[in-house]
Amino acid sequence: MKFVQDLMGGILVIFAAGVIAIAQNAVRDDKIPWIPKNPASVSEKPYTSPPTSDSSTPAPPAGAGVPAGTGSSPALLSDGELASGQVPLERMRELVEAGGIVVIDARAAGEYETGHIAGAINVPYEGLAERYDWLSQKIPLDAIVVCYCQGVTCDDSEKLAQELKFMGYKSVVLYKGGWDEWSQAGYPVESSNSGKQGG
Amino acid sequence: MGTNSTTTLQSSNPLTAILSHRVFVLVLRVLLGALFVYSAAEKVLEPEKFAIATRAYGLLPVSLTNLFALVLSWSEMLAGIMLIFGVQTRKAAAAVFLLLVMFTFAIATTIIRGLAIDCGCFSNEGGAQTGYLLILRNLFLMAAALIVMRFETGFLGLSRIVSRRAESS
Repeated sequence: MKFVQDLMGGILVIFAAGVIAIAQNAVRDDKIPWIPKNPASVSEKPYTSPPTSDSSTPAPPAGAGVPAGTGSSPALLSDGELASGQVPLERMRELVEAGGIVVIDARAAGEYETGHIAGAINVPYEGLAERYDWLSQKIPLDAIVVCYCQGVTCDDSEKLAQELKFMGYKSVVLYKGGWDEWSQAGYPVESSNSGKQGG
Repeated sequence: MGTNSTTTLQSSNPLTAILSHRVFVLVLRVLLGALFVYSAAEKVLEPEKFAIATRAYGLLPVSLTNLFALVLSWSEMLAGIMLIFGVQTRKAAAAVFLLLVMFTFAIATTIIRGLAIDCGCFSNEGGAQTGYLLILRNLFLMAAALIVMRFETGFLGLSRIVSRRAESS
């Protein structure tokens, strides 16, 4: 009986913590929304293709925006590249040309639509939460994922890569040069008409 | 008389004598509290990251995950502080026990579903992946919480110190 009473007391403690949590989040400068935000890019351009039932399927259906053969070539990246977590420009070009990788543009939808690396899908870091299901359905956890954003000064790709690792993706690397370096080098690009958006 | 007979009964079993020793319970309670405060600190400071780790489990509707992450991180923090200072210790240990039951359930579901995700246990990043070892660790922690609930005497706890001062004044 004392045990049950203590458990009820424990629930009260958790309830009190809830009150503190709500009060603290209401007054803090970097408060988080009570309900995760649904960015405009998601509602405007929802992903409409039917989801695959098997997340380990290496080749997603056409239109999914994920390159065919994704996840089937873990040897594409060397241990050194995985350890450093980065690939330089020329290596990035090799990987894009070879295919079998997922290139993710972590910038906002507007920037992505203006221009992005050929074959890249758009998963803005800010809208990651709403793309969880899409990502886990379309991109197998053993896929090789390369994230990029605008250039060396942005950190959205880094944060996105970190969170993809949280989700269980094993081979996630950054292309730090980003859109600036890639487009200046004159390597293959696409605009919103030919690219696909994840979400 | 009743207290004496209980003490005699407990002392007759060496293991029970150790587990129920007030110093042992004090150490256990402070360690458990410190562990929870440590694990909660980063989550409280960066709730968004913890919310993302929560979403990775895929057990809750996305719309609830931010609120859940906020409440959970502060539950760990509050229960941990209460354990360290000995405030309503049994209730705090019960809260810790309930949280651990929930964590263990969540981790078990990831194993069953074949998910390899970061557990989000002690910090928002670079933590351990979910697996059987985490379940084993949580079982030990749950046992510790139960011992505190069962044998807590208020020794060097704020609750007891305050109530004694109130009685003496």
